[in-house]
Amino acid sequence: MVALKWCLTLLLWLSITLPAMGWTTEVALSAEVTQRLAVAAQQVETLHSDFVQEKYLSIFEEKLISTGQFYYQKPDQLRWELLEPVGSGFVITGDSGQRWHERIDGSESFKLDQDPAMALIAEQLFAWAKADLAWIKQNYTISVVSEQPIQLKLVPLEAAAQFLSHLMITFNDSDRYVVAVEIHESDGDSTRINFNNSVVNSEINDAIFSDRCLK
Amino acid sequence: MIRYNWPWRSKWQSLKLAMVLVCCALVVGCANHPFERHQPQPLPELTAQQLVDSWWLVTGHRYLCRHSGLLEVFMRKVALEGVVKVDTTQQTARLVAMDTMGVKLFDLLVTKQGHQLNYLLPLLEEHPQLPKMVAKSLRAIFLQPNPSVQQRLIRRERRSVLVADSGDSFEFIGMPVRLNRKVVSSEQHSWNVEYNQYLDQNGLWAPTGIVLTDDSGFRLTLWIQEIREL
Repeated sequence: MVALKWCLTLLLWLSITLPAMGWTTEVALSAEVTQRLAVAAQQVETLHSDFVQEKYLSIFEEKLISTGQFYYQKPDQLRWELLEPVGSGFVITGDSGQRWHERIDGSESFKLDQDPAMALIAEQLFAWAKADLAWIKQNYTISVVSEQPIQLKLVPLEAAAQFLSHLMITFNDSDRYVVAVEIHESDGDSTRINFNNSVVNSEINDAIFSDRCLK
Repeated sequence: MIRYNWPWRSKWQSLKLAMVLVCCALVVGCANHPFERHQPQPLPELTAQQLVDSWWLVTGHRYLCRHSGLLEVFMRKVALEGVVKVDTTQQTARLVAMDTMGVKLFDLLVTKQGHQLNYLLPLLEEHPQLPKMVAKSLRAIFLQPNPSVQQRLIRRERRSVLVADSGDSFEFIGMPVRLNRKVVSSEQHSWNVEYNQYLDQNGLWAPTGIVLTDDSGFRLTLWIQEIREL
């Protein structure tokens, strides 16, 4: 009896302390969580967020901070823009877009079907903005780290596994948008993007998605 | 990474490419200088030792430098973000170059004699010249050659120049005294580095705008965001 009590106490203690130490339990993506994300995503027509990007370089033990803003409008318009320390960004509407950089005059047009690097980035951003779990499942093994708020761990299935260890995606309390993305690379580097000041379903001027000049 | 692609994709590509190669040196040479330049103040008579001592990359130090860069190769422009660790004792520079999204493009260790490519983004494997060019530029900017007290000193009113036997020259201006320009010239190949906009960076008097111009047709510009001694 004493041994049983001791075991129960130990289990209780572990259940409290391990999550606090970062030891989390992952479970497979359930139909319920899938449904919650799908329903919430259907309610999002537009999304605007500021973000802070922290890139950790393991060889220098250095964290690089950048800030920017992000706009999305259903079904296929996107603006991703870094403001500090160096301005750069791109806009996408459908299968084409414009990109720019503070150090280069003007902007450059691109077509997603002719630019594999941009296509890869666009695919990821649209998948997260739309919570497109069907696409995500084709590319990652998904497990659920937390259900409230929803936090998913994604392990790449194919080519990306060479350099990508896993991603951690955290949604806001209403499940409607992502508040944090962590990208863990195989060599120990990582990137964390925290989205803040998010505004859902506000009206976004078309000019936001047309070119570099906003103001 | 922003890449401004070759606009020549037609059947006349070869001919036009040849025309571009002929014009490229002019284009790079005539490109706008990205940093303001002012008439330097008169420079007092300083010894070679005093000039060499003013150089921020003197031996015995290690620095970490965050920068953004623009590589111009012929008519093409590539924007990069980077962090470089310079060890002036070992004469090495380790660079991690990224695109603006934080995606690592390549990881290079540059020494006096060569370089080692520790990582290259698979999408860049068809552009092996890119890390090679950057390695060569880093060596020129941070490692080799360096001003030395053994070099011949030529004094002018507003500048002093140390000239090596090889013809390499190091131009200092003032005040405060600072290396303004490094020139390496030979019959086969010439390049120069300009060090602009010196600022106090965490107690270190160092340039924040660096331009390397190579007569083979490329230019690398670095905007230094932060330098600190390790």
